[in-house]
Amino acid sequence: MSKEAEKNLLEVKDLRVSFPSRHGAGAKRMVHAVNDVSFSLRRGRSLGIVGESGSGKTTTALAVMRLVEPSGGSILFDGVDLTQAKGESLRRMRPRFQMIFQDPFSSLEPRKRAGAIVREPMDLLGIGTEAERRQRVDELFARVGLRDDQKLNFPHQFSGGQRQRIGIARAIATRPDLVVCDEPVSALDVAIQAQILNLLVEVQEEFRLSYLFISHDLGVVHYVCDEIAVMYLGKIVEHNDRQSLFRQPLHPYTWALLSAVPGRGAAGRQNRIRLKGDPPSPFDLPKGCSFAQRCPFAQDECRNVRPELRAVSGGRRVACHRVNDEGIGPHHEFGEAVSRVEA
Amino acid sequence: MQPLLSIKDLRISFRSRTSQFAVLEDFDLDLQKGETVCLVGESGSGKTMTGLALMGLVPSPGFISNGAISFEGREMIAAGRNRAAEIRGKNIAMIFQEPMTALNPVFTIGEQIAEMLRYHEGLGRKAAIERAVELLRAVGIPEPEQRVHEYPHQISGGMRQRAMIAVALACSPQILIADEPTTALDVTVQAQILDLLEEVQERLGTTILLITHDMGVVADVADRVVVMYCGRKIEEGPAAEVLADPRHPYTSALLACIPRPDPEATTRMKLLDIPGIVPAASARPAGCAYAARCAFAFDKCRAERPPLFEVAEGRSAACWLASKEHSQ
Amino acid sequence: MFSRNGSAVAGLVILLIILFTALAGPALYGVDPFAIVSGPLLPPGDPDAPLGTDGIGRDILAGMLVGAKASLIVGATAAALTMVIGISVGAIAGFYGGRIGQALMRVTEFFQVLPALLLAMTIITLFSPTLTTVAVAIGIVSWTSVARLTRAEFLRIRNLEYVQAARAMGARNRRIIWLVILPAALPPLIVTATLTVGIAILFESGLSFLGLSDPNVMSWGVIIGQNRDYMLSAWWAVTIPGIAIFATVLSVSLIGDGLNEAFNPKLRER
Repeated sequence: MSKEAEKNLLEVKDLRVSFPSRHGAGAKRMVHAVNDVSFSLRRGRSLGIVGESGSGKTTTALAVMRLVEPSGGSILFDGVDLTQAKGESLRRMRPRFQMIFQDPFSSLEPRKRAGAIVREPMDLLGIGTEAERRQRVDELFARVGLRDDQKLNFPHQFSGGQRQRIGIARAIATRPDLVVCDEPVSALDVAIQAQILNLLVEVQEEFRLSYLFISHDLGVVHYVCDEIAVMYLGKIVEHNDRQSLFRQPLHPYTWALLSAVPGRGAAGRQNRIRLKGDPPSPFDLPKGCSFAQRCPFAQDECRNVRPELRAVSGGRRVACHRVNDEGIGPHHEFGEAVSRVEA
Repeated sequence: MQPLLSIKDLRISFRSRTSQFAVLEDFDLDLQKGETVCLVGESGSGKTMTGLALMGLVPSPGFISNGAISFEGREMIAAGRNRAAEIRGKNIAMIFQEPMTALNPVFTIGEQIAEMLRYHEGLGRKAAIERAVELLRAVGIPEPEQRVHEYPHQISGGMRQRAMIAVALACSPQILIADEPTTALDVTVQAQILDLLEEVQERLGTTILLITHDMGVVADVADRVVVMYCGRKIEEGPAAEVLADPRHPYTSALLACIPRPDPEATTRMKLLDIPGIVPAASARPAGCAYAARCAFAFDKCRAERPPLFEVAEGRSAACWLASKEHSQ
Repeated sequence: MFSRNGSAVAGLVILLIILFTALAGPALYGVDPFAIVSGPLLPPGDPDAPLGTDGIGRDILAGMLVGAKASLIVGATAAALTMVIGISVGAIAGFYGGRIGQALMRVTEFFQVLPALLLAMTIITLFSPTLTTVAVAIGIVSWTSVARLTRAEFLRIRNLEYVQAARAMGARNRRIIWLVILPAALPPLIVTATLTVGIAILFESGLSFLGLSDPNVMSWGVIIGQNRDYMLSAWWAVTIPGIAIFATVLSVSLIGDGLNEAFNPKLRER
C-alpha cells in the first residue's frame, strides 16, 4: 500500500454536538446528540456507523459535513480542522467532501431539472468552464446509469432508485475525496437497494472515494464497509473491522443488534438476547454506561462508571466493563450471534 | 377443511378519467385457522391493497372490480357494505406501519381501546377501561394503569405499535392483518414486536396475515409465504420450502439481492441485483410482468402470461420454467 | 403552460380589460367625475348617466372610469409593499431563527396588535393624504400576516434535505434564502399577495369614507365611501364599484393560481 493510502483522510477527535431541546414548555434541556466521538478514516476506505434512532449517527455525519455546529472536539480533514473553518475558507473545502442523502424524494430540489441538479455543485463552487461542466454532467449521467435525455426531466418524473442515482452523480460531481452517505438505501425497495449498493461500491473503487456510511441496516453496512463503529446514545460503544465485528461482537449491544436481525429462521432465534424497552432519549445521559438500563449483563459498576472506548486483544476497541482484555464478554457463552440464513 | 378466510379471483382496479387498470388481479388466497401467512413483494406489488381489500378500505379511486372474499363461508363483497362491515367487525382487525398516524392523536390510548370494546362488545365505560388496562399489560406495556390515560405522542414508537396491537386485539379478532408492522421501528424493537405477534398467536390462536417487504421477517415468522409481483401472486408455498428452493426467478432474485451480515465472508461479492424497475400498474406488458427484468426470460415469457403451475404439494409458481412441459 | 390554463387566461383577460378601461376610459368618456350632471340617485339606464348618479348627482360611470386608475395603483403598490416587507422579515426570521428570529417576531407581533385602521390614520394624518401615503400606510399595517406565513414556510422548508444538500454543495445563505427556499415557499404567498390587492383597494375605500384619502382623486373606494348612506335606497351606487373591486381581485387571484401552476413542475404535467 502506498504512503498516501496509509494517511488518515479524516480524523474526528472528541466530537460533541449538543443543542437545546425544543420540546415542551418549562426549563430548556440539552440534548447530547453526540458525545466525545473519535474515529479516523483512511483514503479509499469506508467506515460504517450503525445504531438505532437517537444514537447520534446522523448528527455525527452532519457535523462532519459541517451542516450542524459541533459544540466541541475537532474534525481534521486532510490535516485541516473543519471545526475552525468558516465562511469562504469552508466553502473552498466543500468540493472535497460531499454527501448522499437518505430520502431521494426530498433531497432533490423539485423545481430543478436533473441535469441542473447534477451540475449545481460545480456551478456553486466554480469548478471548470461551462463546457467542462456540461461534459462532466454527461459523463456522470452515463456513469450512474441514467439516459442522456433524462437530464431534462424533473425529480418527480424519476423512480426512487433513479433519484438516488442523481443524488450519487451530484455528490461525486466535484471529484470529492470523502463522501458521507446518510442511509442512502433505506428508503428503497430491496431490488433497487441492491442496484444502488453495487453502484456505490463501483463508484468508490473507480474514484478512490472514502465513505463515511451511516446506516441502521447491518446487512448493508456489512456489504459496503471495511470498518464499523456501533453508536449508542451518542457514543461509540464498539469499533472494529467488519470481519471481527460480525464474527465476534464485543459489546453486548452489538451482539443484541446482530441477534435481532430477522431472517435466521426458528433455529437462529434460539440463542438470542432480546433487549427490553426502547432506545432511551438523549436528554439526560445516565451517569454510568448509557446501555446499562437495557443491558442484560449490567452490574453496579456499569451503572456508576462510564466505560471508555479501549483496546482489547487484537487491537479491537470496545467500551464495556464486562468485556475483559482478551475480548471475552458475558454474552459469548451464548454461541455465535449470526448464523447463515438458509436463503 | 373449510378455510377461515377465502379470497377468490380478486381484482382491484383504479379508474382515472381516461383509463382503468388493475392493481391486483386473479388473486386467490386461503387462510387457515392459526397460521401465519406472509405477503411479500416490492412497492407496487399489490400486497398492501390486498390487506386493505380485506378490511373494506380500498382507497378511492380504487375499487374491487371482481372476485369474492368469504369469512367462514359467508360472502362479504356481494353482501354489501354494511353486512361486510358486520362480518368483519369483531373478526378481522388490522395494524399499520406507522402507529403514529393510525392512532388518533386527540384521544388517549385507553379511550381508543375502550371505544372498540363499547361499540363491539357493549361494555360500559368503566369496564371497557379496565379491560383496556389488561390488554395493554398483555402486549407488554409497562405500567398500563398510567399508560391508558396517555396520548399517542407521549409514548415511544415501539410502545405505540404495542398500543396499536392492543387496539386491534380488543375484540379478540380471529384474523389479524399486519401491514409492515415493524418497518418504521428500530431493529431491536422490531424483534420485540415480532415476538409479541407470535406470542399473541400462540395464546389466542389468531390467524396472522403479515404484509412485508423483508424476507428476513418471512423467514422468522411465516408458515406460508405468498410472493407478489405487479399485482399478481407469482409464487406460494410453505415458507421454509420457498426460501430454501424458490421456483420463480423473481423469488430467488429477491432473496439473493439482500445483503446479509455473514461472519465468514472474507471478500465482497457483488450483490445480485434485479435490473430495471417495476413496471407501472397502468403500463403492464402482455406477457409475464417480470420478463423484462428476468435473467431467464425467453420468447414465450414475453408473449404469454404464465398461469400458476402446481410445482409440488401445496406449492405453486407462475413461471413457464415451472410448467410440466418445460421440466420434461 | 400558463396559456393552457383556462381560468388563468380568463383572469388575464379580465385584468387587461380593467387596465384598458383605467387607461383609455377617461379619454373616451369625457365626463368630469366631480361634476354634478343630473339629479341625485338616478338609477342606471338614464341617458345622461348610463350607470346612474350618486347621492349628489355625479355620474357614476365617469367616477368608475377615472377612479379605476387610483384604485389599481393603490392596490398594486400596497400589495407589493406588503409582500416585500412581509417576505423579507419572515424569510430572515425563519431562516436564521434564534435571537434574530425571536426579535423580528416580537416586532411583527407589535405591529400586529396595533389597530390597523388607527395606525394607518395616524400615518396619513402625519403626512399628506396623497395616494402614495395611503399605499404606504396600507403596506405598513398589513405586512405582518405575510411575515408570519413566510416564516412558517421557511421553518418547514429549511429542514428539507435538498436545502441541506444545497448547503453541502457550498451555496451561500443568501442564495439558499432567495433561490432555494423562497421559490418553494411561494405558492401560499402568491395567493396571499392576490388577496392583498383586494384588501388594499377596500382599505383605501375605508380611508376615503373617513375622509382620509386625497379629496381631489376619485377612486372606487371613494364612490363606495361616499354612497354608503344610500346603500338601501340606491343599490347601484355601491354595487357597481363593488363589482369592479371583486372583478379585479378575482382576476388577480386567477392569474396568481395560474402562475403558481406554471412554476410548479408537478402540476405542469397534468
